[in-house]
Amino acid sequence: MCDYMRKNIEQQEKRCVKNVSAIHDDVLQQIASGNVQPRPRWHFVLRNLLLWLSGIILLLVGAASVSVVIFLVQGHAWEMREVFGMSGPTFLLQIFPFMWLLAYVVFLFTAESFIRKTRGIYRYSPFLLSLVILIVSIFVGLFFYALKISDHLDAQLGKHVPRIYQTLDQRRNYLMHRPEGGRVMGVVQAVAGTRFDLQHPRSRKTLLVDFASLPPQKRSLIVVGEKVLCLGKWNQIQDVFEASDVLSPPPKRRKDLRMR
Amino acid sequence: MVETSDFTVASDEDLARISLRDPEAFGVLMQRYEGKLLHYIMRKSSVTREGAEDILQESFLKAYRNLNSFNDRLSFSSWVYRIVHNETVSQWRKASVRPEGHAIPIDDEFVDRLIAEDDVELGVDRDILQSHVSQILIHMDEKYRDVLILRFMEDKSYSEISDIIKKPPGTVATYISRAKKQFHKFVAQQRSEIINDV
Repeated sequence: MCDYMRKNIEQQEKRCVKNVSAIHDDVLQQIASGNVQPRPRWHFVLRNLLLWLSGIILLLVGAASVSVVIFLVQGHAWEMREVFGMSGPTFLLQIFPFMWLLAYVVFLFTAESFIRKTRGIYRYSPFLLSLVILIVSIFVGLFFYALKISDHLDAQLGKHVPRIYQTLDQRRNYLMHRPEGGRVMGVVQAVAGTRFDLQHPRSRKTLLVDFASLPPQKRSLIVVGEKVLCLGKWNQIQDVFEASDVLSPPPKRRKDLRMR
Repeated sequence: MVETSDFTVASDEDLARISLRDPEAFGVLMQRYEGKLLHYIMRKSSVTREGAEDILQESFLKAYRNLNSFNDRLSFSSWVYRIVHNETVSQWRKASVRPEGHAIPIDDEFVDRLIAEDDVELGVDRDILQSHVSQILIHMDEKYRDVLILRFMEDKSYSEISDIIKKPPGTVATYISRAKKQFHKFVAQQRSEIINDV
């Protein structure tokens, strides 16, 4: 900036100074009277620490969401993809736990906003910060998955908040239980001759299944209290599902949810 | 260690540290900055002079209350400008008004500096444009107007602006670039109006 410009600015500022001595005096007076005191240093240190801590906790929760997503996708009955006659991407879309993905995004976004408020972080590019948080959360999520934290989390949620958790899992139930689509899933209730009652785990509705055309070696799977997945054809007129095959439910899913 | 008698030659950062045990040092800091900051508030907002003085007083009180949060990673100037910046924005929000006019005229060199840095011909006589700068600034987005004021009126570096508005230096550079484009756009829009005025 040239000298002339600097001088001009200084002159304008001096004009302002003439009228602000009252502010100066008033502030000093308030300080002298003890009405205004500096906040202790620990207040700021603690605030910064809490912001970091909150950000890191949210990041870990986000990472836990990643581990559960991996667990649910990995643990799904991929071998049934062909039974359902679906392509890989279609099957993935059907089973993908989008609610967990949403939870992951929310936790990550909140973690980022907390970390951004910590001292000095604003100097870093938001894109870079988000990328670092994303990469860290995925790596920690993989680590959690390897430690089987995801299994435990999935089991605990299924046990303590079954209604909410199964609502989130509804698409999977829908995938497995579609009489008009040639598949029904449920718990065997009572066997009489070549027919048994199959109770759907969520709706508790009972459907009559006829297994007369089932190969003898498969009939051993039909045990009262066990969960089965039946493939076949739904006879709407007689309101009976004619099973041509019976399978055990997805083997890798945790047991209590499978059986519910 | 700076003694009381050395206040006038002490750096702002030293004075900020001394202010915790000797409020007179804070008085010296206020004297150093009150003119600049009052000017800045009035450039940035539409408040009256009395309103600007209220904001300045509240900002100084906040600065004193938060002296322990000041650290050497920032210059005192950037730190106190940030407090004033936030306080001014906060007062706008409380009043729920958008600035409608600058309380003091824009300094004469603003346009010169803007043109000099950008090497752009605005296509309007400089003196005529000068009288319309306030109106153009008012219509600009707040974030762009802020960086233009800090860069071309307060003569702050990109790094200082980054510390004042708490955005990365890269973002500041982007804002300044966009602010110049927006300024040029408004000048182009107002050109016919300016010519008619003449």
